[in-house]
Amino acid sequence: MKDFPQDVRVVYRHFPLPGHDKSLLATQAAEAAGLQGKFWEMHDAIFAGQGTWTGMTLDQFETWLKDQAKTLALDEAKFTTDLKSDASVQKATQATENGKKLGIPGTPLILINSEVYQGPRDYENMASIVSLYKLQERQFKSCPPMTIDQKKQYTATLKTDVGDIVIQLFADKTPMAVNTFIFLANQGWYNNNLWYRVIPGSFAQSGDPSGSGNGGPGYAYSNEIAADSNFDKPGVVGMFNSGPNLNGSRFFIIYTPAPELNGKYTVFGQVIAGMDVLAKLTPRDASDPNAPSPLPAGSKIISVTITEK
Amino acid sequence: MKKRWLMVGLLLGAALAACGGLAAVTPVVPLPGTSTAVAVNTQNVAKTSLPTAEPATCTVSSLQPTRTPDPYFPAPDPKTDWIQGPEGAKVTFLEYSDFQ
Repeated sequence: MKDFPQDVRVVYRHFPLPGHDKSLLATQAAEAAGLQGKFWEMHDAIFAGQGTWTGMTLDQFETWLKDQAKTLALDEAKFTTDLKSDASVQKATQATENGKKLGIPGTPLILINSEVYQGPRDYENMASIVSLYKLQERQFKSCPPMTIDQKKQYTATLKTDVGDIVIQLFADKTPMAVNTFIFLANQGWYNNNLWYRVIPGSFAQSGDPSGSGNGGPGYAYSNEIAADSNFDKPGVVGMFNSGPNLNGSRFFIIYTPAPELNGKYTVFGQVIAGMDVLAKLTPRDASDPNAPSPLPAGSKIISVTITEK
Repeated sequence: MKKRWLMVGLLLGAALAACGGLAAVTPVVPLPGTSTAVAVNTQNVAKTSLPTAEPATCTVSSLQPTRTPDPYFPAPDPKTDWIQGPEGAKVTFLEYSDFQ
């Protein structure tokens, strides 16, 4: 949350489960601390201390909660009164009733933008969701106009933080992919894009401003498979897709021939300079079970410049 | 703490499957109905002379899991909920939780 101060809001709702002997008192303690402006501090303390208090009796737990209030520099007398006030008890029991009424089967139940979420709750996934939501604001509401001249020669210079990569684009064979790549480059879409997946000796992938590897430009277009363009040599540039008609902005460059990709991905360019730069990109692969966590910051595309002749 | 995680089918839209896909690096093909695909702008590119090149088409589609607010759960309310973060945040995580 601290990484997205403007973009993320966290809402906490109590659901003290009926079968848990100390859940009501814990709820009351958080509410009592809340009356002194320290709800979140008590919330954090209670969760952090779970291992300590789970086995306690209710009386022991009450003492433990009062100790926490002391640690948080709360007015202890007021906390003690509020802990078991009618209002606190009422609030906690009502929360249980509300949860039961909604049919919530267990806790925690997480909603993201008001919809139930049950995916993984680790940082990488949560950050990825936030970055994808942010990307939606930048997505295009229409397909790019066809502006390229298929008879012309287009090259793209990818300025990266480790050097330049120059790509010859195949406007004649794959006009849709090249047109969209040029459109996006000119719109600055690729500026500051992370090389989010780099597997040395295999391929390097970029083109998603969210850096999650799941973002797209807001439109999708079909494959353009040309019989004489294949993934047959280092430096072939392919448009990534999530299916034959689901190409977007993500693209990849292969380090070695990859015939298994033939026919599945559009070959829309070839690296004509900077293969040595490609080799310098920071390896990064979230799908590798042995990948470090968090993943390395990674290399970036600073900008993409198009030339035509 | 015992954390049960059994969701009733009713609560789970197909979109959730796509959500889970966020974990994977290889993008998941969105399930039907998960994206707000609106074919408002379709264009065709003239077929090239190459016999195997099919005319490419383009369609407006987020291709990202989108979520529609579920009115079943009350919206965040500063009067009754504990809230951290700005009201205009793009992403709101709402949690029903038990301390124990």
